Amino acid sequence: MNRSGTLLLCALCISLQACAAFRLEPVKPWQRGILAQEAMQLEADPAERFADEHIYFSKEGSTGGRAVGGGGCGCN
Amino acid sequence: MKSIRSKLAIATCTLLSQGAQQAGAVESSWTADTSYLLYSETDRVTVNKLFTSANVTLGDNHLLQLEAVYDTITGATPTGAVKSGGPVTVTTPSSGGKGYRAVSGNPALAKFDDTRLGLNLGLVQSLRRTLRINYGASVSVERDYEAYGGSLALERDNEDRSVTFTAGVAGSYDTIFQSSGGTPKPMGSVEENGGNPEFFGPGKKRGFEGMLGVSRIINRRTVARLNYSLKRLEGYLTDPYKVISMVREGIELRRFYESRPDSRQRQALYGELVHRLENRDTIRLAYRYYWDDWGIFSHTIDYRHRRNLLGGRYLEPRLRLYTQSSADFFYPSLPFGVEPEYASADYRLDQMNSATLGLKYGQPALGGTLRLRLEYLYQTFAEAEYDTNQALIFQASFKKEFD
Repeated sequence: MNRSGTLLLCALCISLQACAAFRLEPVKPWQRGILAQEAMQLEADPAERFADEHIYFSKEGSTGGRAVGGGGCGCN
Repeated sequence: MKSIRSKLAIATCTLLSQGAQQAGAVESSWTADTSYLLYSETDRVTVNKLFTSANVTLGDNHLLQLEAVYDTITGATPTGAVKSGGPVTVTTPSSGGKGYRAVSGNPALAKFDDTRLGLNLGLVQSLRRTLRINYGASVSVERDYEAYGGSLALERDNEDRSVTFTAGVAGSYDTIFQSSGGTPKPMGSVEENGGNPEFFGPGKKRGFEGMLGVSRIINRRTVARLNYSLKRLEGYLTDPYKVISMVREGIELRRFYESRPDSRQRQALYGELVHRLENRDTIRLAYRYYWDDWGIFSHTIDYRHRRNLLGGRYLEPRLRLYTQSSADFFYPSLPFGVEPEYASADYRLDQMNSATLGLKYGQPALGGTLRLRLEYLYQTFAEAEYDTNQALIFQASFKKEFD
């Protein structure tokens, strides 16, 4: 098998694994033990997010997407 | 056995009472999280930031959120002028000795220092088991910028609480001025009237924002969310300190205060996925597509991989990649004789690529959680006078829950 074929096969395997990992399944409340852990929260570290939003708002031309509101600044 | 059954029953009840987005928030009467942040650019800006937040449970149905932040900002920032600026006296945008001052011999860079105090207040009210409303208010004050804002967001879970819908609106009202008090005439010449250019009063900026979002439990190891946000800004959107040079054959002939449109419509699609791998590592992947009517389009990918160690410790490498197009009115400098209505040489409006590589370490300490992170930011710009920017970011945070 040539190199591009090997890469294609690898990509296919990874895609199949990803599909299996992210398959939609009903989850009963008593099956949410992993989801209840701190590391699995969508807002796992608000202090880091708060700092990042200030940094990248000040240094890039884009902002927003995660939430509404919050204080502005005239940052340079 | 009875003890295990009892614990399982308590755990089940706890989980039943939580939504998709907050599946694991631990019940407590209050939580405090305090951080110190150092942001340090090579030869440019340094920011020291102290901030603290407290979440206080008030009865069964209310959560009060308080945040306070204090920043000190010092260093030098690009003015927008070209480095080869000759005899033109450098603009002194500001400030009684406390705003911008030209770096000696380099008109393209200006020293400044500032402080910022910000307060955010939030209240989460549970109206029903599956319905919450979030109220927010914020105020932020600097020597040359004041910002006031308010927000309102509704969160609604479906019956089995595997899906949470969010709808939010926010408004803001900001006042912008040089620390000497006013704002220069847009595209006004810095040298006019013998170096006393025309100034107006403080600039006013209004913001209106809306967001729709959905978060969903995908399976026992995966949770995801998708947001769409729209923000409209109106009023004075120009940076009162930035200037732009008019250049012929590499020689600066004149210098103008920059000018930006008086409205901006920003939109973003944001997706995030959190997944627990079979080896107990947690991966977090976020993507944002952003576009606005100034001509800026951007892609952001943010990946974190948390490796859990023994004793509640963890390591979390991070890679963030960002790319944006330039604004329609970005010019590194103006050609001789060209004076457009809108023009800015602000490097943040240039086409750019940005990468952040970092590592976070967390461990239990003193009954709470200690987190330390160190990151390196590298930016490249297509045409701006300073074509790179590098920064180190260090943050130390400590969080503790109190019964």
